[in-house]
Amino acid sequence: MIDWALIGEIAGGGYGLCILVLIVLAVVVWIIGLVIRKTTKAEAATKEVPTKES
Amino acid sequence: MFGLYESAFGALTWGNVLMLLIGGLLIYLGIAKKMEPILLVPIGFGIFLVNLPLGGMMSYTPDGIPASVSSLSELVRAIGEGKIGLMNVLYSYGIETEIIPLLIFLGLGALTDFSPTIARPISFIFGATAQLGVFVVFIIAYVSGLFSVNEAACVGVIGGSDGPPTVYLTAALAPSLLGPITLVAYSYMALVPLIQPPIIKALTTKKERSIFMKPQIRQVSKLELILFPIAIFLVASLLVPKSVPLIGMFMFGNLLRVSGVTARLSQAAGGVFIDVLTFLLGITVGALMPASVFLQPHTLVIIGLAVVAFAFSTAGGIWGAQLTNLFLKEKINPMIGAAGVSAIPMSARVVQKMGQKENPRNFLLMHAMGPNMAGAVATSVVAGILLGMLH
Repeated sequence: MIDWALIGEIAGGGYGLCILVLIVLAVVVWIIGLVIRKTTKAEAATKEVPTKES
Repeated sequence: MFGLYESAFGALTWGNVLMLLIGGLLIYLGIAKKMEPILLVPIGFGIFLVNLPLGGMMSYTPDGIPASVSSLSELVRAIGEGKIGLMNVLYSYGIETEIIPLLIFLGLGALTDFSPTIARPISFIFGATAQLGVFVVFIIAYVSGLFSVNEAACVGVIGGSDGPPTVYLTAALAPSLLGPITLVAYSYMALVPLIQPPIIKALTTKKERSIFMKPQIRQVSKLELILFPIAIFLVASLLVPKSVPLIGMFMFGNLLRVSGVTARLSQAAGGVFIDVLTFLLGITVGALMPASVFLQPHTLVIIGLAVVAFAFSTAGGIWGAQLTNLFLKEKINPMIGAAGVSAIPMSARVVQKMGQKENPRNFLLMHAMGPNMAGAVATSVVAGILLGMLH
């Protein structure tokens, strides 16, 4: 006797959960990259200002 | 045969002879054809070790699972009495405890450069959609009635095309299938250059395959490289707790690589350490294939289902990329989705080769490496999800 509900839960639920988790990971990595790049740019800009004044 | 003396000839069965031929074929493919030699040569010799009768290298329970002992004192006594052999010890302490696949994953982490995935985080989506084969084959295997739910999940995970998670999951859920599943998984990884191109061609148009992508990827800072394994481990572990052993080892190994202060540890983990573990895994997996266990109808079914798993995983990656293209201004070449079928770096090389054939200006390797690495993370997540549901 095939348990179709179990198949649906494991195959559908499992694949869906896998995609969801990986999307979350993608967003986390994207946000980290974005924050680091913005911070680095801001730091570089702050360093440039005294150089120009001097 | 000669009084007290007994040679192995009398106990040799046709099954043993066939397995010796299979072992010889694997050694030939490894040495002469250079197909995954690091694994196929030890697996082939492991098959030799257990298919020569009376050698006593490995003893099995009636279910075909290697006999194990519960304590060290019992182990010493069992070895002394000849009840278990060397391979039983390696299996009990290396595979059954899942130490070897996990430590191999640590070594792989130390060898992996995640820069392409960090530069293009959308790669994670292709890595995820490329797990389609795992679940399609799970359904087919279970509905066929030949496999239990746990066994079907282990057959399906071959489609993730990543060795350590496959071994880890199978050792936990269906140890009696560890031999054929591991052999099929590693053999088919070597066959990726043959399996993927026709599927990629069938699912993409010439125009799609010719889409040009700038060869350079974004420069990734050292801080991003360091934060990546930590963030991935924390987030994945919170969402899928059962993936902690796999993701934890993988990301720890990677942190050793990128931290910049543990170069010796990183070199050790990605060098002799992983080599020793790999041949221990290979020879032990080979020893899981005596004729009585391997020459069963389900082995042939696993071989057939593995092709289906690889095909659907390739398709899933491509469909993921095609779907993503609907929302992107600067279109990506959908072939890079096929590299979500981990098999590092073979599937990325396949994409690179096919991309250059369609458009000689294209250099897709680094773009394909992103989904390739993401595929390894995705397979670990899938193994964790299946363990959480079935263990």
